[in-house]
Amino acid sequence: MAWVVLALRPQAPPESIQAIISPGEGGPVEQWFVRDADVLAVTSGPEGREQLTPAGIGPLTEARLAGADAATMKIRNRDGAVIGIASRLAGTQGEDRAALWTFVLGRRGTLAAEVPSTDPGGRGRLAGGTEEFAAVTGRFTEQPGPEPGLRWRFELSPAP
Amino acid sequence: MKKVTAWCLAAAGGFLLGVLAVVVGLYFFPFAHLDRTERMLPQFPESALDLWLVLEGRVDGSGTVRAITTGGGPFAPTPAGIPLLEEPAIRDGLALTTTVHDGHGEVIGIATELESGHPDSRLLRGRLMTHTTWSAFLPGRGGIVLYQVEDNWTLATRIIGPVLLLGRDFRGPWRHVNTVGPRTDGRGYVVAGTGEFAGRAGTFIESAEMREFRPDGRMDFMMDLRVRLDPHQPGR
Repeated sequence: MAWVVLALRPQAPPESIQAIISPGEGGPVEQWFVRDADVLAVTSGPEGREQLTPAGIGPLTEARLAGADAATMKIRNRDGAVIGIASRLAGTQGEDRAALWTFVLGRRGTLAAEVPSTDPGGRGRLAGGTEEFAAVTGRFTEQPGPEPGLRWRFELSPAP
Repeated sequence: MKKVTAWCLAAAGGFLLGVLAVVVGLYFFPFAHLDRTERMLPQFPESALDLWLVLEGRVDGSGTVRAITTGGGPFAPTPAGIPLLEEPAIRDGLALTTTVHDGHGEVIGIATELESGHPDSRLLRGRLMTHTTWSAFLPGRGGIVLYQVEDNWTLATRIIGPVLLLGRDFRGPWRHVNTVGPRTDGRGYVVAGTGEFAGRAGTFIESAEMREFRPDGRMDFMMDLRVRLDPHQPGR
């Protein structure tokens, strides 16, 4: 019945937040945030790097996933409004580790980004997307724990 | 006075009969997209798959799924204490975390499913749709992001709706292809890749087998993502 209710009620209006602008204007184009309370679920293998949450979540016990992490969370814009949900999947990739970020922002679409662990500044690349993000390329930066109460901060920048 | 009362009763009765006729009509109407399971599954046979990601859930909480949350239903939030998607921009959504195995039962990675409500959902078109993004990370190999439009009309009208209305368990199995686009051939597509999937293009479908669904939202199910990569775009 919830699906029926979902179909009948009006959809949430599009968020009036800044869109990605064309390359060449320089500087960070968009900033998104995750507050501590915005984290939905985190699971990890015994060699993973994340704290499990909520308390009852099952860990990654399979040997192949020993060093893997998976997290889901809500995403906020610069004004503090929740604008979407995201996931971070991390583990070994080739010789190193990498994280795959996926952002789902309603009508704006989906955006994927990759961050290799070899970059100490958390800098990565925009890997692909849909709708507004279908053709976007550029730089993506993740900052874990940038200030008290914030779990993550992200910056999306046009390609240099 | 009696005439007015009779007129009001007749109007109310007529309205209710009209609503009932629409509901029954929608339930039985043969929407064109309802035969897609028979059309789509043969296009993705096991022998043609480049990637096969399978997840499962049980009513006792076991299975591959580690966490699931929505804006309030119909699936039971798991584990206890997980925040709901209550904010207006995400309340039509879903966030699921799972391990995935291949078609032979070998665990190969972790995955998430992130959904948001689709504004083109219409009861009169038999469409209850979501934008659905699957992300999978296979340790040692890399990650892949898949996007589809998913339609849950049959799931809602044949399983979830009756279970919630009647308070009785559904027992299957019931097999269904959930993918309805966005491609004109009814498939979803590869949005992005990393590692060995970097630069790869391809298409996929999501199919599900519901074995049991209970009024409290617990369920026994299998779901799989059947991916075919484009051999003409070998990636970076």
